[in-house]
Amino acid sequence: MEGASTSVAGGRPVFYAGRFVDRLQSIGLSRACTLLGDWDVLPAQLTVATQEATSLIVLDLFSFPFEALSGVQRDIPLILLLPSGLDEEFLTTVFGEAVFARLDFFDRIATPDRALWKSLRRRYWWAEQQRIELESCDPDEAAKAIGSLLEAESCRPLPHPDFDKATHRVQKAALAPQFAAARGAEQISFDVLEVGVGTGRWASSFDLARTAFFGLDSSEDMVASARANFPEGRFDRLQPGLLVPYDDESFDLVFCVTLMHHNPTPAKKTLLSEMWRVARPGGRLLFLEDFVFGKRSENSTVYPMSVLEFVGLLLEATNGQVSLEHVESLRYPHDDVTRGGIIAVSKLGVPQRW
Amino acid sequence: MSENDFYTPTDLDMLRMENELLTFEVRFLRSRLGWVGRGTGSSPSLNRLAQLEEAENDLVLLLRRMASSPLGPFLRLKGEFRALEERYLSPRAQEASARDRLTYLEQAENDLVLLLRRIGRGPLGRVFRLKRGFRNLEERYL
Amino acid sequence: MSDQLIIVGFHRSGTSATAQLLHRAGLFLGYELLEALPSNPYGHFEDREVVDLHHQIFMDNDMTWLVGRPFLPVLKEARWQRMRQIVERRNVEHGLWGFKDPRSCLFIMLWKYLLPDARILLVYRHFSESTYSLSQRHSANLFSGEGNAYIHKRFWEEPDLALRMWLVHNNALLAFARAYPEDTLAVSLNMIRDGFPVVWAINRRWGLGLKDVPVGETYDPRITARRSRRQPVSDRRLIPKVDATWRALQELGEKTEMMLWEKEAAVVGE
Repeated sequence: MEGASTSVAGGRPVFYAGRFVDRLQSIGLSRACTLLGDWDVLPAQLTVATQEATSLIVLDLFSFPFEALSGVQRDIPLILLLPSGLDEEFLTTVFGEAVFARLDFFDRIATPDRALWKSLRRRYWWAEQQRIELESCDPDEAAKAIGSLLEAESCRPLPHPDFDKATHRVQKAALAPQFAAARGAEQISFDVLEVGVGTGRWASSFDLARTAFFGLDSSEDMVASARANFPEGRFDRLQPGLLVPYDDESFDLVFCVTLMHHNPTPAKKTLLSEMWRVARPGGRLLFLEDFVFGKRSENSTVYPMSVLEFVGLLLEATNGQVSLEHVESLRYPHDDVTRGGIIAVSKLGVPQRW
Repeated sequence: MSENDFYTPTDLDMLRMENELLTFEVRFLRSRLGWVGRGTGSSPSLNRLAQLEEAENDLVLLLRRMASSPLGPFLRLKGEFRALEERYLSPRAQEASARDRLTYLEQAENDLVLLLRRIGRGPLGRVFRLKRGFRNLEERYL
Repeated sequence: MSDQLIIVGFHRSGTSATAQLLHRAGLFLGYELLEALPSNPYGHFEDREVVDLHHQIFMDNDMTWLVGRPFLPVLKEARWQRMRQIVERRNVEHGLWGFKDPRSCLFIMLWKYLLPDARILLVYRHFSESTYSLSQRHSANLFSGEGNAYIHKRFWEEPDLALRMWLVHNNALLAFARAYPEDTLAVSLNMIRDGFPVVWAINRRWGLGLKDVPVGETYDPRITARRSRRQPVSDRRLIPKVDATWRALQELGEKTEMMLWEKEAAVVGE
């Protein structure tokens, strides 16, 4: 995608120290960092301060106006320092709905308390990689540790330009209702397969206590990361020839996110027909793909397809044994050209009503 | 589009892809909202369409018959008959029919029914009913 | 248990003549069959209930029957119910039934889902002949002011529409044939013209007990002109796709012809 996360070398972290701002002023964060106190976060100021921020680190959870974050500010990855001495019960009561429940794969939690992390993690189904391990929850120490971490990270090569919180949020907003629709009202067990699961970022969209989440990827490294991130899920490698190593009619929902356009047409057909094969009759297949392509950077491998071409491939791969459930186009932030879309179909089978 | 090769989409390609995507989405949304057949020329049931076209044909034939009969000049004194002639027999009728075919046909069917009723009720009714063709029309539409 | 035989083929491919043949042979095709129109003097033999349902599904999807692009339909519950009603009544009242509607190419998988044992008689014709016949009918109607002008004009306004339609409809049939090869029998219009014993082949294949009617009785060669012509095309990328589809259809037709050769070989061998 063009023009996504314009990263400056070293990034532009914004530290919100709240009531601890005086203490932190003396610790000497790098010049690229911005430091905000509790008087600096009136809406207008917050907007100015967070412009072009690459991350927002909240060291004082209690005094930060989360509800004031709006629009593009919500696209900034958050790092939250959990206050010390408070248990899960208390934290979720105060911050659960407004803060924790709205965190996603690109946000992180910083805490030295392993047990606390574990229980919060299972409540909100965060990925293990979302935790920043600290030695202490003292704001000064934490700020220093996080600062160094961010600086180290900024020296690494940039991730894929599509792989950022802004894109993720757009995709999540469109996918979440489809996941819910696929689940339906009464199902007790719910078997889900994601093809091209990567590090597992969509696993947290499901209640992993009530969902059997399976993920496949062709990269061994990705599979290993996914396993580490979500021990509750089951992650395997796609077999050679892009075959899915599961039996026919095993899943209620089979989906993929921006997978197809990285594969040439014969591979697309194989993937589609495999996805159809392992879906249960009456089950859903869900695709989120790019359907309008602009000029791309040289190192991206993309096989563009229009939505009608995709529909043609889908009909061919499934021999027409599907019916249409949902279509939605997606507009990505910072990109006027590329458009994605969601297509959901049901496998022709017993026509249950969702 | 070539299947396995890379290529750089041109602006035209991008426009086409966007067009396809949005059309697909709009069509889906329309079906969900129940907005069907609006301004897209979606065809009504074939049978219904055939019925309507028959009615139009019958109306045109009936009007021609009436206009060229000895009663013609008398009928043309009536404003309503002149209006029907204008609507269905004149050259303008072709234009009207092309513009919104379905509405035109439905109106034709309506007008035919009204006309048949009118004739049937009036003093000329008995005269017309001597003709088999007229009796058939009455049977079919009334 | 009821048997079903569905006659499928793109518009102007010879499905009407085939339907007439099978109707004479005892295949129930519907309670109310559509009438003949000038373009098809021997009658359409299309089941009104089925045609209406197909039209409703098109309308649900904001389309007309001029489908030239891959068609992935929304199926409303009401349509499923209607399909089930149609199926149930015929299953109860007829030991063998079917229907014929070119539009059913696009819905054949839906019917197959409700009728798992249904078979299809796939009638195909060369694209140049089908598209010529289709365009010819619509230009005639356009000039005579008959029928839906919007539909007629589409063939002129959209390049390659008829060819794309041929492609989409026949690809849908080929998909069925791939998924259910045992339930598919393919014949081309040329085969029928040349006297291929369709009813015999159906009986031979599936034992449906149809009355063997000689083809000449119902099929009037005057009606369907045989023209070999070049196919006009605007988008040349269609060419390989059309070629591939045509070859696949021919392969299916050859399999059917083999049945006759096997029969003749057996006779000779005796």
